[in-house]
Amino acid sequence: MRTPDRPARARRGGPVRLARGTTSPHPLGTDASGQDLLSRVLYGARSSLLAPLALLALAALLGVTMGTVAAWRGGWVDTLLSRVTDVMYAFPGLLFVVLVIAVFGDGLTTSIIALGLAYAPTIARYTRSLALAERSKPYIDAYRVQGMSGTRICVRHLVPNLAGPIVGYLVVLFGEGLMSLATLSYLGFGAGSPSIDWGLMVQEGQDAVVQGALLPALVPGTAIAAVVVAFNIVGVRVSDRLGKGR
Amino acid sequence: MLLDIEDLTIELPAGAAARPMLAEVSLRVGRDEVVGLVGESGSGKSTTARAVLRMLPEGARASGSVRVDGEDVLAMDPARLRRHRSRTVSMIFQDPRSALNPVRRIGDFLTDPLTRVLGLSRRDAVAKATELLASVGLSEPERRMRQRPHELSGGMLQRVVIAAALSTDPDLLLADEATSALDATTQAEVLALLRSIQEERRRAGSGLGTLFITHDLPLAAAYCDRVYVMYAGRVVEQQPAHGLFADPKHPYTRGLLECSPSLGDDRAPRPIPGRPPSLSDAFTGCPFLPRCARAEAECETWAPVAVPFGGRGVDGDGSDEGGSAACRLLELVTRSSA
Repeated sequence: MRTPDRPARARRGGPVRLARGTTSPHPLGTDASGQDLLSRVLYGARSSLLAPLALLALAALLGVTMGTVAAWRGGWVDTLLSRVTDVMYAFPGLLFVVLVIAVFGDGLTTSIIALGLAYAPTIARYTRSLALAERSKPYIDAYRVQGMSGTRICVRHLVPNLAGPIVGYLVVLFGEGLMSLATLSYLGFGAGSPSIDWGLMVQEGQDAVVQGALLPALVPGTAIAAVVVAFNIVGVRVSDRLGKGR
Repeated sequence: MLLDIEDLTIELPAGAAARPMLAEVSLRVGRDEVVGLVGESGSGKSTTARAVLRMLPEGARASGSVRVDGEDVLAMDPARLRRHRSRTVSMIFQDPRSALNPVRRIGDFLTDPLTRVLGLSRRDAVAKATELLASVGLSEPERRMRQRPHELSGGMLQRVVIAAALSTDPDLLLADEATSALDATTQAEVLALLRSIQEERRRAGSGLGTLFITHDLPLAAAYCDRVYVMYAGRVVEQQPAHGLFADPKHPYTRGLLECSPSLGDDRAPRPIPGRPPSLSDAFTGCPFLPRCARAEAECETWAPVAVPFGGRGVDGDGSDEGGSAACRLLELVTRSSA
């Protein structure tokens, strides 16, 4: 990655002198350790953008499986899965995540898994409603009449046909996932120093705000806000397109 | 007998319906035979056909027996049932457009059962599928294989569905309103196609039985060998098609025939008064009573049973001239003549 400066090169001196405003070698200024903010934001994009992706992959795998099984089997399976989903729904997401982290220790991987579990019920519920509608379509009956097994119909035909609206939904969830992960790093549960993460950067920069240096907290904060807004706009478009296409 | 349904009763869970969806339905289809099943919407035609595949409504209880080649479908284990659905019986649906997965190619729809059920290789399956498409009269079969359902017309799609239904060489074909959604010329083509398939299979010595479901009684009487008429989940009349046209025994059958106008007849079509009963209507006697022009007070307590007439009755094969009807007045006539 090409950045104006090495993201982890600190300079000597007290924090007040080092957290400087915009200068020509540092277009977005430096943080309290004298590290170039632009370089750090760009490097931070790696974990800040890839981690929500991993989180969504886990949540989608769990959620789509649960939702499809509930819709397909119906009866007590549906009741059980729906009640589990309801309980998860009623439980504050962040509290659940903090609980998991308290048990299994902090770190990026734990927060991704914990958030993945917290997001799965939302996706499960959405998938269930889609799958219920799709399941009643005659072409599914036609496959059953051909003697195709339920698993095969679900995996090969039902779920692929739901992919459009689910992907649209996931794009919107991406922004939310990024937010949650940044929140966790900010609170010190997620990625910790010395890794570079936007949420962590905001936390590291907040001390300097009191001393009048806004940029160290503002720059990563703006990056988070921009990505979340962008994904929400794109997500709504995508889900409109894919959801109503057929 | 290829298909032998005996005393099939399907009941929904208590509270969902006031009467059984199907009540003591008995129906037979022999090899080489085309049997019609006629009735208004909600009379239980489709439920009967789906019972042959054990596709019962959710939570429903079935009693009686549905035997295909002597084996009771209602007692099959899941693996046997899947084999039964994929090999022995095929179904053709009313609306081919909704019966096909909209995002899959025509070719996938046809090759899937071939590779999965018959164990053909991918290449052989494509070759056989192309051959099948040509045999049901589709032009440019190679190109059709690569097309998606929305690119084809309704009549073409129905041919695709028929090709898929025949791909695994079933013994029994269930055609559920297979031609009702098509326009008149396409309907004629599809009927001719089904006839020619029937003929081909007869000559090959592996007779195909067809259960032809329609709401169009004149069509059924013209196309089928034998016709069953259903009303409110019961078979009210069954007899050879020509007899049904010439001499309908049950007042409901007569009513259905009078509903359709015919050429050279100045009479206006006479609809049957009233409406078909819903699942929430329960009966103490004959279910057709409120709409029957010849009803008598005793009909209110008469439990419907099939009264045989003519020939050797219900037990014969397709060539049999006899039939049966579930009408009290007919019972009086036969009893007085005996």
